[in-house]
Amino acid sequence: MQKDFLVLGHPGVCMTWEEAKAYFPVVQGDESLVREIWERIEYWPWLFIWHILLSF
Amino acid sequence: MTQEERYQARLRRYTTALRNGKPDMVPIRPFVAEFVAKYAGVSIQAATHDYRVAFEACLRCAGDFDWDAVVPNMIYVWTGLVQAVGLKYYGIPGLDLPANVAFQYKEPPEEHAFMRPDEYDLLIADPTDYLLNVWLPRVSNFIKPPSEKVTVEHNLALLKGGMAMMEYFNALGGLVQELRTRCGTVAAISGMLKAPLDILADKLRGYYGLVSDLHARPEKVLAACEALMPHLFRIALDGADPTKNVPIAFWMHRGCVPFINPEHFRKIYWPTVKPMVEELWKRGHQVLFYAEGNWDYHLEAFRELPPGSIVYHVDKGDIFRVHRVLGDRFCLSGGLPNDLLALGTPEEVRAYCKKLIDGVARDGGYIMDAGAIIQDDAKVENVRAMTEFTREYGQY
Repeated sequence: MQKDFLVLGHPGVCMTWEEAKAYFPVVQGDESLVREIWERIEYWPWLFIWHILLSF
Repeated sequence: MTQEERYQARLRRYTTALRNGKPDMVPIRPFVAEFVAKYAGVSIQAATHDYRVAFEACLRCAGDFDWDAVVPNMIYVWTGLVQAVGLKYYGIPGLDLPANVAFQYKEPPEEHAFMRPDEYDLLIADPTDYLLNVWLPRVSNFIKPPSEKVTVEHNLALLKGGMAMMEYFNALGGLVQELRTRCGTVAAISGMLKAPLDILADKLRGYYGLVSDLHARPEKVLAACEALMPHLFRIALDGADPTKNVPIAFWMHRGCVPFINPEHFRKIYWPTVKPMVEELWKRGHQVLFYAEGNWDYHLEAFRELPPGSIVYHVDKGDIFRVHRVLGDRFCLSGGLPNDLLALGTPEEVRAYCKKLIDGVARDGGYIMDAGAIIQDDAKVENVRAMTEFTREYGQY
């Protein structure tokens, strides 16, 4: 049976927050904010590499 | 009529046809590529290497021809960015090629494919990681893999490449707006989709490598296609028109018979494309199947898609047969042979446009266009004949 592609992988980031946390073992404030901004900026290198593959 | 009124009338015409309806007249939406450079009197090098030149040429064409919609910059590869990243798989006009030759793809021989046959598991485990750390260093003259010492060229290529891509995509947004305000012309598509199997052939394994793999390790090919799907879907969705008016372009390359056999289409190509198209449609986004070459063998498979979910563009296929098989479900576009635009006369172009309108457009659901993108071999007088005849004869 074919896998549900919507739950596969982690499209939109190169390094997930779970992986990145190794560099930031202690988050003293709001971790969800840190995660949100991390993922927002991670989107750009992900977009870059996928558009190099698809568009350029 | 103001430009905004013209824009709204064209948008209504175009979207009515896209939904397989009957507008006031047959919409015209040519995928003009290097033709815009020829028309504007600039070199292909200038239009390909300086996107601002291409944008101006695109605007000039849109202003001069009565077209309802055009692709915002069909000379889609900005080779300035290509050069900055050091991509090896392009021939760049004016650099590797004469200044008046369109950019070319260079596919390495099978033994030098950018992805090796024993690397499927790496790609499947994490496609983004594979692309960034294995594939990109191989396709770039400057970027190094993590195992090698970084260089000035490596650092600059990544910085320049990233910033240049941001610049280009931001500028494209401006072009869409200018098409509307300066010309009253609709941006024909928004966002892009490619088939996982095509991606494997185009940029990773090469066509010959992929065909070998389809026989030697089909289960790996399928798993790789499945691993690519979430990313290709996300790229398509993120680039889609937020107003859901215009379709996402699905560029179809070598996934059809005879490039692959019917079993590989049925077991690998189609099961890794169809779910993405269905999911996009569930979210309100139509997909334009830009069927380059001849996909007539697969028309029954495309009929499986929900009515209205796609627009089917015909290149070398038999558009009259396509109309018989798919016309009740989907809007069609294209079908005007490019060689006629290049080698024919205006009278021959008009006669073919009449045949198209009589044969497939009488009930609506058709958009006039050439079969493939229109490059600099097309004669201006023939493109003008296509436009003027469709306007005169294509009234409902």
